[in-house]
Amino acid sequence: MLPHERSLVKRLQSQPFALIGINSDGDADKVKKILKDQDITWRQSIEGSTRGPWPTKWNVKSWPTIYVLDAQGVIRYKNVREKAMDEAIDTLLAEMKGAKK
Amino acid sequence: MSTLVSLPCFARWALCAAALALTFTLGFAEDAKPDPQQKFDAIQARMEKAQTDFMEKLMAEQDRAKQRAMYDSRPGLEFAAEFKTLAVETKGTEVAAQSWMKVAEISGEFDQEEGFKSAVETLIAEHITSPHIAALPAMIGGMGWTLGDDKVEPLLQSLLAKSAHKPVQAGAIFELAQIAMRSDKPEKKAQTRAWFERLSKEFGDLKSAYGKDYKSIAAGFLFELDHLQIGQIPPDFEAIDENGVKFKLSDYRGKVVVLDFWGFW
Repeated sequence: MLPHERSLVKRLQSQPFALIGINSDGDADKVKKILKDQDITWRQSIEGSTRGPWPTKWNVKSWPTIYVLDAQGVIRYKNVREKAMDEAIDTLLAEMKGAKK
Repeated sequence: MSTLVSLPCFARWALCAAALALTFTLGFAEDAKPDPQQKFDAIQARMEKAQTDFMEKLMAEQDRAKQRAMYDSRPGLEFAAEFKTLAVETKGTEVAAQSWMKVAEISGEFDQEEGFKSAVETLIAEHITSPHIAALPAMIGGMGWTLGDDKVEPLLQSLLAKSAHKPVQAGAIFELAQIAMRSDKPEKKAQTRAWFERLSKEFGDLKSAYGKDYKSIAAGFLFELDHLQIGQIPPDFEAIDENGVKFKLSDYRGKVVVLDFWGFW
């Protein structure tokens, strides 16, 4: 997961794209250390544990759980990984370009 | 009694002695033979020992292919056979209920469809009021992932129809609700709301095995159903990032967003 996400963020750094981690490892200090050690540059929501507010509200039952939203905020894909995640994002970015024309 | 009294004294004494001896023999025989619960505990203890020993050996093995082969012949099924024998011997008792639960659990772990189904059917037919079947709904629901939901659904329906025990009924409804939710058949998926609403209405105050009440469990799933399906726009959410800065999901409108619920653990 992480190597793919690192390259994904790098590849799309100039695109209208954001990866947000909703992290359940612990407090901000603990997560910051992980981010530094693992070379993670993208934003995190600090949930403290798997029972944090966001995973609780969104009824998350397994980790990782992934949602892909388009530019209008609509959920378009769930639990896509690696190549499938790339394809999903590229499709949505292409849609945005198409809409601008 | 009259014959006994009329017997000569020594004969009466001999009879009493014989009766006494018989009592002792029976008493001893009963002591020497373990009772069914002890038998159950003994099988359980041997199984746990075998599994612990196996895990140690598995961890010590470095070669992945050998590990795989070891795992495929892991201990388990031989104990299912022992539990089944005990269940048959003690038919109708609580020990039988516990034994059939073990047969179901082990058969499930080893993907033995017939063994699993027959154990569950016996539990429903003969042990529907036993407190030992509390974990049965979750066990059946969990098997949906390997056997297929269409195979386990009738078992849950039958359990729900026959049990008068609230935790079992609630557990069965919860599993049926989740099966409906993950179904790709529209007519089945459409039943999801009704199942969760029933769970909340009839069993809301009851706590699941994980300690959460069914009302809040149902609310979580209904939120997911109403707001987190493909094609829906989830309500805004405010979070705090690693630098203590607040942000909202809606800050990211105009961008393609991947939300990754994760942990490094």
